Parts: sequence; structure tokens; C-alpha cells
Amino acid sequence: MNCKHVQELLPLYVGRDLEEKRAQMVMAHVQSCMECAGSVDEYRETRQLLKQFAPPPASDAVYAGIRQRVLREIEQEAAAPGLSRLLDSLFRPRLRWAVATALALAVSVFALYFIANRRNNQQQVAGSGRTLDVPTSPAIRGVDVRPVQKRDPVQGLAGITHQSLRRKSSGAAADRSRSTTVNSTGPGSMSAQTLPNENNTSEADAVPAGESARPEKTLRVEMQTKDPNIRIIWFSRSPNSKFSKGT
Amino acid sequence: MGSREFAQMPSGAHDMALAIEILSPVNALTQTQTSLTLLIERAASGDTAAFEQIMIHSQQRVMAMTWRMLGNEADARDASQEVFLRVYKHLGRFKQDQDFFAWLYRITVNVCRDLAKKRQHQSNRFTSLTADTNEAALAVTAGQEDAEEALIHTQQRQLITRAMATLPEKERASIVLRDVEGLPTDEVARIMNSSPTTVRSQISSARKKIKIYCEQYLRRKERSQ
Repeated sequence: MNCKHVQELLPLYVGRDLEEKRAQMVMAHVQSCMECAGSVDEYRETRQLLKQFAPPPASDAVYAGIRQRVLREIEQEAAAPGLSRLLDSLFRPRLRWAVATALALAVSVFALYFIANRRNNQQQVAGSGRTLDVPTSPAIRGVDVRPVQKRDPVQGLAGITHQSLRRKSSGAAADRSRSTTVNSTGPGSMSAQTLPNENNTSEADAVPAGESARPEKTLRVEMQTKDPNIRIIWFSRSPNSKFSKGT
Repeated sequence: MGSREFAQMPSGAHDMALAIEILSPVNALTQTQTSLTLLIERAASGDTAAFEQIMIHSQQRVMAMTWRMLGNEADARDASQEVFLRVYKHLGRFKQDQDFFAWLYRITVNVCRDLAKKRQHQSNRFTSLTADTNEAALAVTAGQEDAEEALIHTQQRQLITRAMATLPEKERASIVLRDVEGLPTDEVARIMNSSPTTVRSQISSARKKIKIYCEQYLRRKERSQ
């Protein structure tokens, strides 16, 4: 151990904060080195000085004053109504930033949601007959939204029958696509059709039997995600919707 | 309740039964701890009289610690008040197997940190503490040995206070807890919410800085004489 190394360890050595093995090595060096021994003495003197680092004695009146103020504040807080106590605790210095951040985040999320919703509505209104990009979800990014022409119920039925027959013969892969009205152009596509309820076999559960006789239209939007196993189907019964009246 | 021991009675005095209650230091400590535990339980359930007793038990420690951390009496008083308020609010979280004073020190260190951040001009306030003991006022007159001794004592106190004022907050807290309060490093680490290695490093740095400050001060003084 050289002097430089020992000098680094001396502050801990004088306070017995070194582990036993190192302390013994330092002690052996100090016994043979006058300069390091002098440093040890200086450190010990400054440690002695630390004992004088004490406050001037405070009078009983000072302590009594502190106690009284504390007890008064405790009584005041106990008398305060619950709501003000909650608000007080929320706006304590440590929590202030956390509360402000949470509020800012909540406002941002709400604003984003509001803007995204508004944009979607605008796209739906203006998007008749056009291909729309729907950027709201990464899962359906780049998906085509094609409002489907209003069909004659018979045509729809014919289409379904035709596709149903085709599905029966096309095996398990086609089975995954239960919809009969898909304008699927492969993974990542999306289509929308307006169909009479009675022809929409896949929504039998959703539409009450009594309503099927009415000439009410159902808006059906299908989205094929990149994953061929996942298809999102959305139904809406809105006969007066502008979307369903697309060309 | 101390251990009850029967003193040796002189012969012929068998009919005089004498029980002497001896409070050994260990028993006294246990008694203090027991009474403190009871006081904490009562205070946690809202007994303010019990809490006042806890304050009386610990006010000097808290005041000394806050003064050492903040460097002046006014701030130390404010901090002590805040410490006791926090203690009262969080008494429910205190576990009986914990060391009450270690828990109290932790709260004290946190309160002092918060207050120091709030005040920002901590070092100025530290300096103001020593203003009443300036060099001119400490002139030594010949033949006044007691006065000289008192003066040396005051000068030393002034020197260490100034040296402590130069330390960063964490180093000051670590060295106060370790070297002034005499707590073991592991305990200091728990109070500081830090690791023993970090605390050791802070203590080492603080001791080195204090030594250098004192050396420089004495060298300046020698040159000026």
C-alpha cells in the first residue's frame, strides 16, 4: 500500500468505517509512515471539532412554543372538514407535481379522443364512394373503407347464396371468414355494406326476429387486419345514415 | 418498573423486610422504550396529551438535528414544528419493531431537505449564524485564561460551523448522523434511504472537506498574524 492509496482510505479509517482487513493494512502503513500518521492526527482533531457542532441551548419557552403550535395545528386539522383535508393533502408540495401531471395527462387524452372522434365522423360523412384512410388504430392502419352500394334485397340474397355455396366448397380457410358480405381484398382491407336485416345471416343474434320483416337497413363494416385470423365486424342499424346511402 | 432486589439485611433485623427498587441503566432504557411504545400507541389513536409527551421526549434531538442541517435557530424551529406534525400524521404507519428515533431522524432529514429547497439561500443563513462571533469580537486579552479558553472554544465552534456550511446537503446529513449523533453506517443508510456504500463515500468526502477547510483556515490565520 502506498501513501496515495492510504490517504484515500484515511477518512474512513479514522472513523472505523473500513472493513477489518483494509483497516489493518492502513494501520501497518501509518505505523511506518510519518506523513500519513500526521494526517491521521489531523483527521482525529477535526472529528473532535465536530463534537462542538451543536446548537446554542434553547430555552424551555422555545420548546413549549413549538409544542403549542404543533398541537394547535393538529386540533385545527382535526376540526377541518374532510374535503378540505383531502384537497390539502392533494396540494402538498410533494404531490403538487404529480397531481398537475395527472390532470394534464387526463386533459390530453380527452382532447385526443375528442379530435380523433371528430375526424372519424367527418371522414364517414365525406367518405361516400371514396377510399378512406383510417389512422385511428395501428391494427387497421391503411385499411380501405369502402361504403358499399345500397343493394336490392334480392341481389344481396343472391350474393349471399352464391358466396355461401362457394364458402362450403373452399374449405377451412374460407370458414374463418363467416361474413357473406365481405369485399375483402386481402389482409388489411375493410369494407362496408348496407344490407337488409333478413339477409344478414351473421347478425341473427343481434337483430330481433320481429324487426327482420321491416325494410330497415343495417350498416355493416368489416375490417380484415394484417392477421388473417382476426377480422373486425361492426354493425349499425341506421337506415337514415348518410353513409349507408352512399353511391 | 425496575428490577426489584432485596438488600442484605444486618443480622437481628430479619423482621424488617426491605425491598429496594434498583433501576439499572438497562432497565431504565427498557422502561423508557416501553413507555414510549405506549405513548406512540395512544398518540396514534388520537391522544394529543400522549403526543405531547412524545414531543417532550424527542424535542432536543429534533431541534439539534434541524439546527445542524439548516444552520440557524429560526429555520430549526420551523423545521422541528413540521417534523412533529409529520410524525403525528404518520404515527399510524410506524411499526412497533422499528427504532422510533431512527424513524424520527428520517422524517427530520426529509423535512430539512424540503425546507432547504424552499429557502434556497441556506448557505447565507449558515454564515449568518457565525456573524455574532466575528473575529474582532474574539480578540484575546492577556491574563484572561478562562476567557481565552472560552474564546478558543467559540472559535472552534465557529470554524466547524463554517466548515459544515460548505458541505452539500447529503454529505452534511450523513456526517451529522454518523459522527455527531454516532449512529452506525447501516442505520445512517436506512435513514438517508441510501446504500451503506454511498453513505461511506459521502462520509469520506465530508471528512476530507472539513479537514481541508480547517487546514486552510488555520494557514490563513497564521499568515495574517
